[in-house]
Amino acid sequence: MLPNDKIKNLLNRISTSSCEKSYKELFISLHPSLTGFAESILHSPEDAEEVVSDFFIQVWINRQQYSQILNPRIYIYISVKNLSLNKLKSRKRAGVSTAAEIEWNARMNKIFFNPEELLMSQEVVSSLMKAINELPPRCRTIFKLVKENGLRYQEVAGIMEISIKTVEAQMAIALRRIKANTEFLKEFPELQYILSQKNS
Amino acid sequence: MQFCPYRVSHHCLGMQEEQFWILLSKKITGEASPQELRMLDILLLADPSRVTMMENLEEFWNSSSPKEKAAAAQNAEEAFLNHMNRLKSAKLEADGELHPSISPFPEKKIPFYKNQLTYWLGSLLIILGLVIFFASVDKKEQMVKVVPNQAGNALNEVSISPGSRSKIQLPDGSHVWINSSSKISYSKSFSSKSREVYLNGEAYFEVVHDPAHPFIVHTAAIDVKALGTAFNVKAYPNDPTVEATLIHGSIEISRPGQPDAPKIMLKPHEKLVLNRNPEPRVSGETAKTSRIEYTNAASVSLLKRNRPDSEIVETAWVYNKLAFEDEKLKDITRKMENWYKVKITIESSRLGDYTLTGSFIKENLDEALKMLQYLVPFKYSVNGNEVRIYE
Repeated sequence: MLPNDKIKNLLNRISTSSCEKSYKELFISLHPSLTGFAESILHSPEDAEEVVSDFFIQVWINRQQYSQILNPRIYIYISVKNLSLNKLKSRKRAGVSTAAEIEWNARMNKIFFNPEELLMSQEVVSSLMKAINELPPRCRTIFKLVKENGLRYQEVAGIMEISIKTVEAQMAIALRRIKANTEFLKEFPELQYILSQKNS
Repeated sequence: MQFCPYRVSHHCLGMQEEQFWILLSKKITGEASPQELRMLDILLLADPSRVTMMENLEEFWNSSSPKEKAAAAQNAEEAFLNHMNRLKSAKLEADGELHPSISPFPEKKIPFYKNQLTYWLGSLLIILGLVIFFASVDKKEQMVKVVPNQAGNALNEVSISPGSRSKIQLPDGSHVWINSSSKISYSKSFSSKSREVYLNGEAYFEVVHDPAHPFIVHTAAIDVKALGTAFNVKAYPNDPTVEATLIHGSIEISRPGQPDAPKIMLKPHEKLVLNRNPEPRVSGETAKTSRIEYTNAASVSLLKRNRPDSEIVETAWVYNKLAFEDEKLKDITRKMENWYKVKITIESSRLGDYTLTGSFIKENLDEALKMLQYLVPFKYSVNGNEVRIYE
């Protein structure tokens, strides 16, 4: 996720000089995270794509108003969340109208780390992906927002309308499960031995 | 001082374990405060083997997948093109009415560009056009001259030499992009009575809406009549076919000298292909489109939907792009001859029949040939303006 200052810069240029280059840059850099986020609410990649595009249409149409936003990272996520909730309502999924009622369900369909760099075998990679995909859906969503989208705990709490304590606890659960399901160095017992000697 | 929490009390191990993982996650994600980091250090002293585990997790956390990142960026590029199409139609629907206050360009001043977005998109096209225009002016390859026609009326004539493209604006404000080796002419009295242009070659038209004065493009084989619309006409005298492709609006196509022949109306994203030869034959290009009608020597087909204009093969050249889709190498080299102003000979019919899809944007001739070599195993040699392709 781009830092707030960078996003503010881009929004300013879009706002004051209708800079289409900045508009494209903002779209390209936010698109992967935002579609993933919208999908975790809508459970449909097509709808998520549409919601993110709708959000950027608003940004362009009302661009004059976008130079004043203090915390664009949270603002953008909350806008996409609200557009997603509207979309859910229009799909007549009765009852879902507040963040508390969202069935968060982020999907982890891609490898988001570098197995070669981590000396991971194919088995370790698939058992790791399995561990992540077997996390409870809300826990997986929090994990994804922090790991893939690079959001701070506080931002995740604000966006999902939960307490920071919940984010802390859910992140602990996620990492603990990941560790339990993957022993990174099980193929290198010598290395583990050397490392543990060094540390004791 | 050593503090070993495991020895303190066994019944609160569960709690401690939970606390340990919260602190460890906070350290890994960069969320931990200095006190929390100290607390974690104390807990780790109780079990030093966990230090390695933490380092591994940390390494995992900080690792990212360059491949997936590149794929996501590529995907975002494509999504952006689709998004711009949606933005365009969203703005056209709103037509400035929903957000009348946001446009700094009042309609009175710029009546054609009703809102800022069309203005912006329009300027993009104009800038693009100017780039092409100046590029060709630079090389002195565009010629505008005034010649008298048979009736004695003066005609404005714009000729584009091989290998260059240009854009002009007609007196009524309509824009015309002229492809290489093409010629456009129109009478001096253009726009006062009627709007008629004569085309030899290929051009893309963006016509200003004016129902009182229909815009007519005359070619040797077809006449294309439009009100306010954007379309491409390809009528090179040496090509076996004549083509008209409609991007938006509507056009009506008739055969000159055949007033009784049925007129053909095209809808947006339809393409008419007319064979000059009296014998109807299916042109190689129909492979990329789903044909919906076939009468005599003419066929109307539908372009692939949901594509930005710059991705439509028929109009890609307007965007300075040489595009081909499911076309044979021998047809692609014909396009390249015009594009790069060279003569290309394929010395093997087997090579010429390879079917390819792709596009060239900034590639020079040599780069383009090298790109083709990835797809078709051929050798080539360039000698001045002549290219030989062989096995």
